[in-house]
Amino acid sequence: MTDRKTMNRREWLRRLFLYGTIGTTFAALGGILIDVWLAAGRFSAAHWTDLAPLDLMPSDGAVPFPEKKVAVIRRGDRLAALSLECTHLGCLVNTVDQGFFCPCHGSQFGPLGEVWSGPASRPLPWHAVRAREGRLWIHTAGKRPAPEWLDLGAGPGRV
Amino acid sequence: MNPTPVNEPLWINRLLTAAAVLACLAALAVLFVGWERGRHHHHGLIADLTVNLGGRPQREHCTTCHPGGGPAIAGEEHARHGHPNIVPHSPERLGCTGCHLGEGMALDIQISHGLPGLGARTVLKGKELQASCFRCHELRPLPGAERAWNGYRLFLEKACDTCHHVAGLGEGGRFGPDLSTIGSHLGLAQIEEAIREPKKAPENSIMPRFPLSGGQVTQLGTFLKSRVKDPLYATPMQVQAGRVALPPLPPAADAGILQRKKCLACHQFGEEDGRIAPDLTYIGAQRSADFLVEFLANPARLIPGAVMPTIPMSEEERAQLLQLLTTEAVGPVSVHAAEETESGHDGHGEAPAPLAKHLYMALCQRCHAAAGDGFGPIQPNLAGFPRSFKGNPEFFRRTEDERLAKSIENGIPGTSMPPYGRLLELENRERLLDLLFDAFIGVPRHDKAELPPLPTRPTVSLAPPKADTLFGSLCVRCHGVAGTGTGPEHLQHLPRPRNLTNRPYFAALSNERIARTVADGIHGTAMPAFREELKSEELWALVQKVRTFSEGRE
Amino acid sequence: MARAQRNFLDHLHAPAVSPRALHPLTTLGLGIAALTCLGVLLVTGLTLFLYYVPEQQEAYERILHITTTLHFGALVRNLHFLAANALVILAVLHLSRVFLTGSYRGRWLNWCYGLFLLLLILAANFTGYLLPWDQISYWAIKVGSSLVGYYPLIGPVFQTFLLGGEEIGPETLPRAFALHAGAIPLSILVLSALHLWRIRKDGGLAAASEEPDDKLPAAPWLYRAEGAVALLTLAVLLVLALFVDAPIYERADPLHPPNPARAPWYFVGVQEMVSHSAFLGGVVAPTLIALFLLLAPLLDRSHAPGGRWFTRERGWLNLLFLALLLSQLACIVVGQWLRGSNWKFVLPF
Repeated sequence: MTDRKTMNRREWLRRLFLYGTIGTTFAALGGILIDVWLAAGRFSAAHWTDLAPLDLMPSDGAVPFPEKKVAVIRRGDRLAALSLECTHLGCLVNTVDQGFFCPCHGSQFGPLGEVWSGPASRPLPWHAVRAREGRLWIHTAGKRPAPEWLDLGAGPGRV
Repeated sequence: MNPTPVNEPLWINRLLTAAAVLACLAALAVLFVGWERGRHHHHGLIADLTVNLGGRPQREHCTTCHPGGGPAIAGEEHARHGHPNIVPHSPERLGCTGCHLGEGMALDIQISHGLPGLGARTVLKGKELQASCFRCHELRPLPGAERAWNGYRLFLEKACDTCHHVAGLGEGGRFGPDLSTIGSHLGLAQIEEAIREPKKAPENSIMPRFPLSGGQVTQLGTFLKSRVKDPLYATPMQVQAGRVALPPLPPAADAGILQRKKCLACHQFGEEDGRIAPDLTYIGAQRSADFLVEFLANPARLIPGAVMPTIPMSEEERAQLLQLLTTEAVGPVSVHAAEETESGHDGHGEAPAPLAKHLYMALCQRCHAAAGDGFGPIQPNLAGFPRSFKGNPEFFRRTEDERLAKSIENGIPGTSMPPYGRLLELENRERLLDLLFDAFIGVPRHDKAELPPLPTRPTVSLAPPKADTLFGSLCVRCHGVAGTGTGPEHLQHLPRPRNLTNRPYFAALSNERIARTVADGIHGTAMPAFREELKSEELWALVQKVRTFSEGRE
Repeated sequence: MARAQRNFLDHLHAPAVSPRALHPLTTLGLGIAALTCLGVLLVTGLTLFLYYVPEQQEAYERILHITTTLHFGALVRNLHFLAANALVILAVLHLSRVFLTGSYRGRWLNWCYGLFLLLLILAANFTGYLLPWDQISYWAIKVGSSLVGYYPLIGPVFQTFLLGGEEIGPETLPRAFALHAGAIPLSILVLSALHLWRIRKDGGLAAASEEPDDKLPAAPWLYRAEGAVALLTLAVLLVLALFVDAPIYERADPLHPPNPARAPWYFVGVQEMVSHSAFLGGVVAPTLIALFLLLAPLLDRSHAPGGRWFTRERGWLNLLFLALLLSQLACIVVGQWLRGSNWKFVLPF
């Protein structure tokens, strides 16, 4: 093996090139593998799903869709989708007049999912929403802590 | 190198021998026991049945121990009976778990009959089986399934559907948990327990305990157990077309509006009593028509925390109801017995007690209790605990007489205490107050305590973040982070901590009164006095903070 | 007197060992016991592999079938369950023994191998816990995966990897099975081989030094000692399998958690800590413990050679280690037995 001290520049450049290319090869392959390992969420659960026609939403209130585990909240001209999965252990919360109530261990949430009482410590998260062809779609994964309000003023036909 | 080994550890040899013997014995024991355990009953054969229930294959081993569908056999016995006659059903074609539930793939008695827990798959025996009928049959009167059908009738009669939604019932309430698939989640015993002891789990449940007999609870339970995730009576096509509906049970033709909307399942009106909610017999004289309209639209807006859901009704029904309540549900209070004994009263002295007592029993005891301690028959279902008169003298010594009189005359807004100003004349109200002091409170009515003065309100108020911190450290554990009265400790106290978001209640309160409450507490409740702990500006900052809860948006 | 190295076993062991190394109190045989448990797990695991299907509806029924219908099925499952829990306990005891005798001196790489093995063992237990898909499994994994998710930055990534998404769903079971029956046993085998080889490379058991040159041949003494420990462990496992049944509860119901829902016992200590403070208990404390374990050999400035129990020079380190161990044990005891519905403190009587 060529000693580092006696190696000349060309030898050093050759080594650098070799390690660089091999390293990049494995980095790329590793990246691909890691993406596949983490992709399950995209594969099965995370997708846009059709919920309901836009004009059926009453003004000012919450309409639950228990099968999809979301409730559509409307404030005037804006819509957002709140997750109905209790942040304690994942039970489906009930929609009551004053907010939401979890029948499993009694956690209470306010009208916008804020924690009022109970073993739950985090507020209910929100789903991304969008309007398409006059219908409301929600994204089932990627829940976020703040609501993404959809403006209905632009008209239901907005894509 | 040593030619002879020094200190050979001979103990290792002995240990190895012992270990080998132990391991051998253990292995043989396991072989023997395992072999024995493998000897099942019924001649060592395992029955394996696969049935096709409505297109869903179901594999089960039940007939291993229950050959022919009869009672269980042990060891080498032979089956004595087969399955009872259930013509037109055929046990061979239906299999066992379709009706009896249980875990078909287990061969151990404890597992196959359903492990303890939620009980969703606990095996059904005898009349409990009727819960399975309506998984395959459409809900209608069915001979042999009377228990379940009666359960459905009760479900509608007792107004369960006003709070609980069940698939196929149309509007159905969304106040309580959705029971459409409860049969797939809970066992029969667990469902019955939830009806009998609603406040067992969760502890802050608002479901009232309905006065039902054991038989009625069983019927309701049997019906609810038939509500499952994949019922077999509806084809996908029918579900798509929205043609799956539970049969409505129209009320009798001559039923009044109260019967038709099932108000009497909870409320009292005249002689009929649901024993859950307040008495409506005189409600027209207690609440204004506007109040009634607004209340019916959204009960929790006028009495926050009210357990009554919004009852869906048509315009016509609403008009009818209001007509009834405002014209017929008015006074005077019928206290026939009292009127007979009363003879020429002159307003004071002469036997005010019998009339007042009858008034109390007719109007007050439903909430405040005949014993005057607040534990009236409907107390658990009220948003606020009715004031206790008994054992609470200090509270009444510190409350001005005028405030007490006004409470009876005008009611307490934001609570279930209605105004009695129109229903009772002034002298009767005074008689009632006298009765309360004589019979329950125990101190003379004029005996009032001297209240220490409140600290003066400073000109410069405390910064809001400081007030928030104070609130967080002193108040949140009872009143909750959002001021709703549901802090972590709230279930330990009765009366419950006040719901600070109660807008109508706090609108009628002066700041001085709030300050008095924070400084000196409220006797008879868990509200402590914070006078010693708070400086003047802190006290008034807290008063401001309390105001923000009821004055917030919406 | 040592014979020539003739086979694989001979290559794994030094030709001669000191009498002290053979003494039971030196190592307590914990390493061999753990290895035996691993062997039992592999054999019973491969057997269970023949009968299990990682699909939400089928898995539970397969476990019922194995436990009640299959001949000796309950036995195999019990052995698997017992050996798995025994492995966690023995691995932790082995780690304690190595720490308290300072045997990691000069062997930091092997120490790290061992720590990683412990991590893999916990991962194997965790993924295996989910496989029956009953109420306790499902909710234990739900709690456990939320504990993992607390960790900043890498927590959610890890959680997504574990669950196959954001929540326990149809992806989670096949994934847990693939990890439990494939990736993790493979990694454990490779790392165990490295772990054992490293002992040889580092000069045998750490108890050897500063002893007079008084050696015994490894064959037969060391082999016999190891064999004895292995057989004893096997005997204990077999006898326990007759009396202790691997638990099975009702089918998993994702909409109805039990109250309280507990993580598996080896994580319930973390759950207890988290119930006091999500950040301190779930992030800071585990990180500090992990860092301490990882870096202890490097921070150990004592000069005493490894292999002796409780040397005075290492007193503080030993004390710290014992304090950590006992505090974690206390958390586990509280979380497992002294917490009732809604995680309220209750006495078990």
